[in-house]
Amino acid sequence: MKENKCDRVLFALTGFFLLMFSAKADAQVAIHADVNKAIVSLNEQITLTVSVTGSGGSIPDPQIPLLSNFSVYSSGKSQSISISNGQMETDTEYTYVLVPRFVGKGTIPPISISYGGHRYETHPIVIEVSPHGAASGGGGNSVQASPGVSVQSASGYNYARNRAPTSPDVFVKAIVDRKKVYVNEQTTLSVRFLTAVSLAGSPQYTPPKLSGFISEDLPPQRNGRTTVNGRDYYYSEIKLALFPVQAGKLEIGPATVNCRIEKSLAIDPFSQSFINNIFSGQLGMDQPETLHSEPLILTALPLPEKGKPANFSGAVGNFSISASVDRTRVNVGDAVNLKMVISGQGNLKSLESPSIPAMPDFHVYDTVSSINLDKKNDIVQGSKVFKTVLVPRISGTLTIPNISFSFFNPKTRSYQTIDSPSITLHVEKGASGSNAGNVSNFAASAAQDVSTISEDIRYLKPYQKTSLPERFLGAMSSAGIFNLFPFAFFAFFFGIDQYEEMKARNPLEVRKRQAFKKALQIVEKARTEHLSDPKEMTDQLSEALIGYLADKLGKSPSALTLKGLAQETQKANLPISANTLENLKRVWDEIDSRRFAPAGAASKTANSEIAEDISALIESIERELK
Amino acid sequence: MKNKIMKKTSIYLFLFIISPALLSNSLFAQQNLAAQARQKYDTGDFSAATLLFQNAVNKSPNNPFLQYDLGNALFKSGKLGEAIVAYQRAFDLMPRNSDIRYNLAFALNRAGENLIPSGVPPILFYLFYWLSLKELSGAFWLFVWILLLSAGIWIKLKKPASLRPIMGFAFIFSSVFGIWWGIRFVLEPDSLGVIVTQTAEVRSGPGESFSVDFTAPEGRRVEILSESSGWIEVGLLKEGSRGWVSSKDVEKVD
Repeated sequence: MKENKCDRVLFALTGFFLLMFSAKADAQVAIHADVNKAIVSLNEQITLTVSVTGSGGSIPDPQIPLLSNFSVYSSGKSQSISISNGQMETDTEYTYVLVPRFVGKGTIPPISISYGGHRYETHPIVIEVSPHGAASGGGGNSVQASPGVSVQSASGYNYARNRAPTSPDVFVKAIVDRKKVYVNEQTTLSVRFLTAVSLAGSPQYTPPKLSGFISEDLPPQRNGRTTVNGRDYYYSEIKLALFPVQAGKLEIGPATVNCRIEKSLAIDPFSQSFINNIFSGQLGMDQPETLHSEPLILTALPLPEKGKPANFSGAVGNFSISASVDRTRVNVGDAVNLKMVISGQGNLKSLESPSIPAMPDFHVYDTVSSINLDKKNDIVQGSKVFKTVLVPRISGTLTIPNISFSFFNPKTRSYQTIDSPSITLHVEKGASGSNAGNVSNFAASAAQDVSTISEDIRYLKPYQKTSLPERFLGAMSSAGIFNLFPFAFFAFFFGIDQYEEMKARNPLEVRKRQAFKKALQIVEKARTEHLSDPKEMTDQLSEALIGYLADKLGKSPSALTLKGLAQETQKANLPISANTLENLKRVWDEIDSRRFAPAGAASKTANSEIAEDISALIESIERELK
Repeated sequence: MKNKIMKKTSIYLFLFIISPALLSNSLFAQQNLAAQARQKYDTGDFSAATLLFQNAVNKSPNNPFLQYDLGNALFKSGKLGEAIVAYQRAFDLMPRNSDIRYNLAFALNRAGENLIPSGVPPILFYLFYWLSLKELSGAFWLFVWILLLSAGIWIKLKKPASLRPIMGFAFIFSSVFGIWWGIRFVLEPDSLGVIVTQTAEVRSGPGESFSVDFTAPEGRRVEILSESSGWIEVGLLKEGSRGWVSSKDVEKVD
């Protein structure tokens, strides 16, 4: 029993959630159709509006079923987009103009849309069509033409009575309301098919070839009666708004209508021709006709370069601009919908979004647009809505600046720049707890991308001294003359090293070089230290002289004799003059005699003199050897 | 006589003892000035901050951080040209500091110039300007000292093998720093200046009787080529043009 109850509760809950889910799934796309009037007369038109609302992207266009009882013209679509809680919802309205082709009750079958594996449908709409009123030109049968041309035939009308000799039975005429327009300025092309005779079947209309234009249908098709050159015609007219896309001579090709004319020959059964026609099979035969309108040449004037604003993007016509936001008090990270509306007359489809000025305080998303077209009085007009989402990055009072839009006004032949007024927003920092789901969406996306709001210099640096190595290098750089010290240091040791090496390599040469200095030092020492000791002094002087000569000759002092001196000097090729040699012998003898003289024989004066003689002799030899 | 020598010695000894105290007092004064200047800067009084930073810089012109701070105060005061002079001085003293480099590049950008020449990879520029000219010459001399002293000792000690790595190391580094210093010395203008007036009229000669050839905007760096009685011949580094400007229009960087 208890288990049964539980099952029932579980079943009920499952059913509830399934219902909830399915309701949510159904709510994703909705389609609805409506007409402006359900009862019309035959020459009236009906506006059918199909609205599709959906929360997903890329919802397809609705499928209009085959409406054989109506001529159908598309009159554009308008779209509005709103973003709520990070989800985009689109509402698209498709407008069609229907012209009934029947009298009585008819039905517009369900209009469907397939999306996400589901099919959504509208309810069928019943339309009641009454016969023509008095104004609709009664008397003629309605003959449907396809595609797009319906012509009231002149069946039963005595065309022969009204026939003018120069007027054709049927013809096509194309005219433009202005033959000279600016690039992207509207000119209206009217293609009129006129007939004064009965037609068999539906005429086939081939629109003119247009190159260098953007065209826009101007429904509905007009029907009526007119008189040309005194002859009455029924006509059917189609209008197109043309916008030249380039300057220069542009051609509108011929419009073509293929039709079949009923032959309504006068029947005289007693006439020979009646018999002939019966047998030739011509009686009651239709005559096919191919009709062309004259091609038209239109001059598209270039837009003047003078005074062209920098933000001009090619709009031609007369426009106004407005801008609004859905709310003016928000938190940082909240989405604000900015709506810019450009309204007026001109080629709205080609309008580009007004340039939104740089707003570093906001994250600006892409702009989406929708068009509301109205073709009243055959002039393309309406409004184009541009919507974007702004997300404030910082708190405070933020301003959305003026949004400028420039266009060329062909009436005044000048450029105009219009501005929307600036909008002020009050942005709060936002509470971390409240509205957490909504904020976190944008906060998360902002955290992922670091975006530059503005650039500035970096802040001051805390006071600090330069580091010790930096100061040390600075001191080294500024050392100036002190930097020569290592050179001197190195040069000193290098010099010593070189000298030592030279000494080791050539000791005789070193002896020769040092001989003079060494000899003079010994003489000086002898003079100062041993002046009172003649023997010692003589020994010293002898050592100085003989040592000097031995060093110069590269001989040992003990191996040197006075006798061999001359020979040695010649052998060593020493350039000592004979006079000096003579002097040398004299001094040498003097020293020898003193060395072997008794003690006390020589005075201090004599010692001093001999020392000077030796000094002079050595200096003399040194001079000669140089 | 003995008393005189004693007196002199006492004075020198006193000065030697108190010199660290005098030095620290001077540092404290600079620090104090910088702190006051920072306070003014934070409250948005950039003119007062400029004056105080200028005083601190006058006391310690070789401190790159004070030059940087002065540059900031001048920049915020709207004196772009003078700010670039201060930033350039800071950059010359410490080119590897990223803040100094950033603010100099930022200010130069405002003056229509780039710190890093076009076509030069930033990493190469940063490496080439890692050391200041002074530091390069200091490093060169340091390794020359090491090389020559170690070579002298090596000779004196009868050329031991143990000293050879030191000499090789010192030789390589002295060569690297010497070449680096030499290239920088050759490439950098002898004397750099900055246009400090809003627009400087650059004339074909040193005087107002000469025609104005072109104008140079505030903050544009120029090479100072010569001077003649109140007029300076300048060469524009970016455009390669040259001419004469009034000495009031240019402030020398070094």
